[in-house]
Amino acid sequence: MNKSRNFLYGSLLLLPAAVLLWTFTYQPVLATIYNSFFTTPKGRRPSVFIGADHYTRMIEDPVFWQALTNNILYAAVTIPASMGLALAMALFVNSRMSGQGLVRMAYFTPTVLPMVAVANIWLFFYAPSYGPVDQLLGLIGLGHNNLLGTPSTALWSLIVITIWKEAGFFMIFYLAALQQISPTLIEAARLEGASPWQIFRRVTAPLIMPTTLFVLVNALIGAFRLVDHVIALTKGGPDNSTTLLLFYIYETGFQYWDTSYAAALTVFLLAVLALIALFQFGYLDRKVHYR
Amino acid sequence: MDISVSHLVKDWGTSRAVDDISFAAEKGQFIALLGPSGCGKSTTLRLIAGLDDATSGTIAIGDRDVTRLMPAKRGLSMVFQSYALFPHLTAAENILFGLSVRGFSKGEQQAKLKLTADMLGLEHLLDRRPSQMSGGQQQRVALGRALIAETSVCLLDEPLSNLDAKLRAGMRTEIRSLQKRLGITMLYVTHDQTEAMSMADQVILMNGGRIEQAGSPTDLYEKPASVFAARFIGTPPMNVLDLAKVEGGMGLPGSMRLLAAQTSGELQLGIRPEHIHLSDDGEPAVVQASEYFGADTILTCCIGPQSLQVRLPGRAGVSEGAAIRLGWSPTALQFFDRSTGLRRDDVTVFKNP
Repeated sequence: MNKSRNFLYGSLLLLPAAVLLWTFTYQPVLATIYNSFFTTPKGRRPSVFIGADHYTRMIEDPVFWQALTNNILYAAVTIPASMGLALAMALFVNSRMSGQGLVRMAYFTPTVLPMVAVANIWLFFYAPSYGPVDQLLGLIGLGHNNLLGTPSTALWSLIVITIWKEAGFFMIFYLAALQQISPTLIEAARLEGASPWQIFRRVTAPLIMPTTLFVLVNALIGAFRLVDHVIALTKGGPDNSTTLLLFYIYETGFQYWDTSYAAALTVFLLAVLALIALFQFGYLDRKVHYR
Repeated sequence: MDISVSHLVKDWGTSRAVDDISFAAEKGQFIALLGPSGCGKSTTLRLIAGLDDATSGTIAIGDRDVTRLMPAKRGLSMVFQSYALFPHLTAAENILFGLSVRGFSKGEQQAKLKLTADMLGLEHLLDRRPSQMSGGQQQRVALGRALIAETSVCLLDEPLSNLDAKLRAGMRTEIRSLQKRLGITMLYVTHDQTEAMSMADQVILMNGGRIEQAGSPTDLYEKPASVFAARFIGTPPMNVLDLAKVEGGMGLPGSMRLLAAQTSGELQLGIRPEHIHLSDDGEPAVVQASEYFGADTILTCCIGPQSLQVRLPGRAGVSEGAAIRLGWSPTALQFFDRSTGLRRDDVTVFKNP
């Protein structure tokens, strides 16, 4: 009697969250998978079942492959660079110095700015001839570039913006982790004769490993999730050189209105993200020491 | 001299934590730095370890001036109050941390680890992480990490304060016997006078950043240099009572009995609770409280306006509110100057006819 009542209360307490999760997460996921096996309904033609046709089309779609390679390159460069920079900045502002608060705030500012505002700032930075970046390049004789308008440099320009914006965000997590480490541990290591580098490698780094993992997963998901700057700056161009997966999905779904193919692309992206999550929980979690 | 500290000063901004401290420890001695919290004993230890920089003064270890050297170059090891074990490393890795960063070969490391683990009874704990060990086990690992380096000086910062009372008593004897067996010089910070008295060859009692008294445990107990030392050592501590002028000398207020054959200045009388006994022709007193501890009983009594504690063997059989008479041997009396708080050895004890 008591047990079943407990079960009832428990279920009722879980219900609101369950309803929200179902409506906005699981139901759309299932609908997306379902829709990816049908054609896009047009005015007179209702959608028909086509099996895995969208997936075979994906394999033959050069733009999809371009978006995927772009995205992998984008992730492979932005993640280590922004995490490394974040850790370096956190170590720097964690040390005792004057003006510490000001430096911390300065590092964090790019993160609080909305991406569209950031895009506008960088649009000016990257402007050919009069933009500061091009002027600096001009000093070393490499001026007159349209950095965002040239296929070979456009993606790298976006990569720089992303690193600049994400590093400050990740720094906050690293800073919090560093401040959790008891100063006595560092003192003990110093007393035992460890050099600053040894202290970092053998004490600090292992102790902030849980944070590194957390930041890594966040960065990975972010690398596949962030499109604001693509939309605001390049719209995937020139010649698809800055098309990332999510931007391609957005373009297919809401520019060309090929929603079923967009659904198939989404399923692929979901699979990638699910793999990342599995990698985290299945493998990395066991290698990390949690206090 | 294995450790010698002279005119050591440490300022934190405007406040002075360590104020002109000098002392020396011979090789193989066990020195206790004793004092209440905030007296500067831990700061002194950190200065010797090199974890903080001295404002002025010098520190020498083994005849070598180390005042400006890095902690690792001073040739000492340390046990921290919180143990400071690395939580991500096993006991063995924690103990070997120093040898490993100093580049000892794997073979040497394992040989030394075996010796240290045997000595401290740690063999079965070597694979465990700090979170999988009890406080006492962590304490042993921390001790192992300090001892494996085989430095001649070992600093200990309140190493037993996080252990329960029973374990603490056991560790006290163990640390002391290890120190004697290995012949190392230990500098031991504690606020617990029982630890200092029972373990140390020399106790340095600190108060307000200065050394109040330095000497053997017997010196501190039998000849406290000041009222502070008298009241800090002993459980219960020494009774310190104000004296008033009486006809022909000084005595307790409200009593006609002469205690000191001295008429000038203001004096305080010190007497240990265990040196007082019940006596038929003694000083009249009223019992205020009685605490029974089995082997002895502590009575809190009033003589005139002042209260004092008396330790009587076994059950005293005196109830609260009872009127008793207290006596003592004249040699048990000690005198202090009331204005300076310092010991006065020039006072003549008045011998009753």
